[in-house]
Formats: sequence, structure tokens, C-alpha cells
Amino acid sequence: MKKNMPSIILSVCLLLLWQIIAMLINAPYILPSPVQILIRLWELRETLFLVQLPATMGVTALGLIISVALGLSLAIAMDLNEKIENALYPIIVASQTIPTTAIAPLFVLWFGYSIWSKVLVTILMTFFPIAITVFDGFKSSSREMEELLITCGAGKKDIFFKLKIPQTLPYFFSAIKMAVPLSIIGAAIAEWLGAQSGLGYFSKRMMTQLDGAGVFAPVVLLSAAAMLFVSVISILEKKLIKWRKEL
Amino acid sequence: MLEFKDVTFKYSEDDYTMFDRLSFKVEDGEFISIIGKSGCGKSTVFRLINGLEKPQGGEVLYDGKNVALLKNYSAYMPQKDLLFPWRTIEKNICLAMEVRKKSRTQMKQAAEEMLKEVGLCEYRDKYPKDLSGGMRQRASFARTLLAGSDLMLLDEPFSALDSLTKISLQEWLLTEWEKHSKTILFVTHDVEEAIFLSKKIFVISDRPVTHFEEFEIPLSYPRKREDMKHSDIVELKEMLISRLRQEDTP
Repeated sequence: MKKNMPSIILSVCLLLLWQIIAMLINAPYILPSPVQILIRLWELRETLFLVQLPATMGVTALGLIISVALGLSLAIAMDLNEKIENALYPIIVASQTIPTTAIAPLFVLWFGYSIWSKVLVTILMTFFPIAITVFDGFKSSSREMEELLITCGAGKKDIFFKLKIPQTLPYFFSAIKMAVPLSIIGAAIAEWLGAQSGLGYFSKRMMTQLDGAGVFAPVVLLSAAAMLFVSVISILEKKLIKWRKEL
Repeated sequence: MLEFKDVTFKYSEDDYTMFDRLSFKVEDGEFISIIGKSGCGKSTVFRLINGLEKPQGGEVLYDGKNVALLKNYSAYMPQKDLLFPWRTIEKNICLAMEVRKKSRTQMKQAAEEMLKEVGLCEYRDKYPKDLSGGMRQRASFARTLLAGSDLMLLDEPFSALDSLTKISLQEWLLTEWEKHSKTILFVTHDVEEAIFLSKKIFVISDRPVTHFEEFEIPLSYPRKREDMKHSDIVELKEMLISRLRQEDTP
């Protein structure tokens, strides 16, 4: 708590500044104040919490699960074989140069308004940090420890499970902490571009009604969800990696 | 018995040959130290013994068989303790047994006895970060002993420790060696350490190394610190130091 104090104080100051500017401008359809956003959040609570949030979380969860599976598989494959690494690594990096928002409408054309068009956008944004960070984790494993295992009679399987996996665990958690907010952003962008439900879709709908506070309310909810998930992952990380000095 | 028979070795990235038809023997139960200047190939001897490098010529034999055909004949203790930070001390010392597919009961029992022996019982569930340098080296030694091989390769295991811890661990190592009757090959930079611990010292000199100069230590076991003050030991120490100095001079 004490460690987070400066950031809490700064956030409160910024919110106050926002509140003052919004009150001075007095045009809530352009810049609603934080208080107006909270009021709108409360007014829209039923649809936001019971309809839109579950829809977005569904896309996020599915996208994240597939991204973790895909990212881990790619990282393991690249670690096992240098030829695979040489073939895949540049493609994975190149995939990040694709402007996701520009091609997302294509996914809607291919998959319609089904969940898959949105999941695909989420995967495209999320699998990269997982694959690259976990792969870097594998590569960082200590050569000396590997040799020690070899002198004990260890084969590739032992080295993978007894050295590489545990040594990569902190990298995996860092990747997941990056991937969670990205997957939520990915889901929201995809919903913004073409959907029938979800916080992104709802925010866009409010935009067409010139309801500034209504645009911000789902965004607040998205941020809160991302922060909550990252905190849960951090707690899990501390529990699972208690051997780390810095934790 | 360990034997190097006309071993020739060169690292692919080097433009010089490290060992040229090198031969030497280590009898069972001996404690031999290898000394020489940095980069002379002390650790390479270990890498050839435990199969991390393959000689370009000749053979490394253990009990008459080429080590390339053997498994689990040697246990290696590196300079850094290399305890796995994510494993508790008990799990760390069981590492080699785990790789060698020993049963859980066997591992538990062996670890129990070994932790008692190395004085780390209270630390069994702690992580390496919770241990001092000396304790970590003892844990590393316990892991090496539990590998169950008769040949132990100790690569400057005490070099990073403070002098008091180093002295007490040297005495402790001798007790352990006498108790377990293992064959120990010990690499060190420290001439006094080599004399105190070993039956014999191998000095590595000019490159390419064609032979080791052998020196018998005129002391019996068990040894005491005071033994190091004997005139012949002081003489031997001075002579070894001056030899190493000569090699260092360009």
C-alpha cells in the first residue's frame, strides 16, 4: 500500500484536474466528468454488468486461452529445433506489423458477427508477447546448469522439465501480465468494429447517441477488469515463485 | 581407475591444441589436485572425463572402459554451487538421484542421512537464497555425493568463499573423503589448499600439455593445519608457487 501511495496520489490529482476541466467546459457529450461517468455507470449497471461485460469476458477468455496454447507451442517448437526457430521467428515478428484494427473488418466478413471474428483479433494481439517472452525464457536457461544435469545423466526431456520449465516460469507470468490487458483491448476493438454485444460494441452505440459518459462507462469497466486480472496473476505469481529473491 | 590414454584435444574455436597425447592415471580412492595457471586446461580435463567434450585422439577410460560408453560413473561439483533456486535444499540434493530414476523412498532416506551428515537438516525445506555461501557449498557437495558415483570431480568448489569458511570446509571435505572412500579429482588455484587436501598434485604446464608433473605430498591422513608448517611442506609449497609464477611470466 505504502509503495503504491505516490501512484494513488497522482491518480487522484489527475482525476481532480479532469473533473475541474470538464466542469469548466461544461459539454458532457465531449468531455464528461469522472463523477458523471460514475453516475452513468450506475445507471447502466444492468446491461453493462449482466450483458456486455460477460460478452467481452467470453471473447477475452477464449482468445487468451488459445493465445497461451499457441504462444507456448510456438515457443517450445522454436526452442526444440533451430530450423523451426529460423522459419517461425521472423513470421511471428512480422505478424505484429499487421495493423489489427485495419484488418479486423475482414474477420467480420469471414466469420460474421460470431464470437470467432473477435477471438481472432484478440489472438492476433496476444499470442506474440507470450511466444516471444516464453521463448526468451527458454533461451536464458543457464548453460552451466544444463551441463550439470547432463553430467548427472539427464536427457533432453529431463533438461526441459527440470530446468527450462521452472526457469521460464517468471517469464511466463510476465507474458501473461502483458497478454491480459492486450486481450481485453483486442476484444473491445473487435467489438467496436463489428458485434452485437460487448463493452466495445456498447461504447460505440453510446457514441452514436452522443452520450459521452455512456462511452466512457464501459471503458472504465474494461480498465477495472484488466487491473483486477493482472492483480490476481501477480498474487498467483508470488505464491508460485516464492524462490525468487526479489519477490 | 581413471586413465587418460594419449588424449589429444583442441577446442574448435581455438587455434592451438590444448592436450597433445596426454596420458595419466588416477588410482581408486586417491585424492588428487590439479593446479596450473588460468586457461591451462584444468577444467577441460573434467569436461573430457564427464563427457561434455570428446577428445580428437586417444581415450578417456574408467575401469578400462571408454567413458563415451559409460553412464553415471562420475559426479561433478562446479565452482559455483549451481543449486537450482526453485528447488528446496532437499530437492536440490536429490537432483542426480531423480535423474537416475531412484524411487521416492530411496531418495527420501538418502537425503535424510545426507542432510544430517552435512548439517543442513533444519534447512531441508528452505530455498538456496536462504543459505550462506558455505552452506550452499555443503549442499552442492551433498548433491555430488548423492549422485552415488565413486569418482568425484570438484572444480574449485571453495574459491568463492571467505578464508575461514574455506578452511573449515577443507577439513570437512577430508573427513567426508576418508569416510566415503571416493576417488577425488580437485581443481584449484590455491597451492596451499592442494597440498593440505591431496595425496598427489598434478601440475599442468606448457601448452600443448603433453604430461602432468606429479608431486607426492609427504603427509599422511588425517591431516592437521599444523602439518602445513613442516619444513618439507613449506619448501614444496614455495617450489610449486615459483613454478606457477614462472609459467605466468611471458
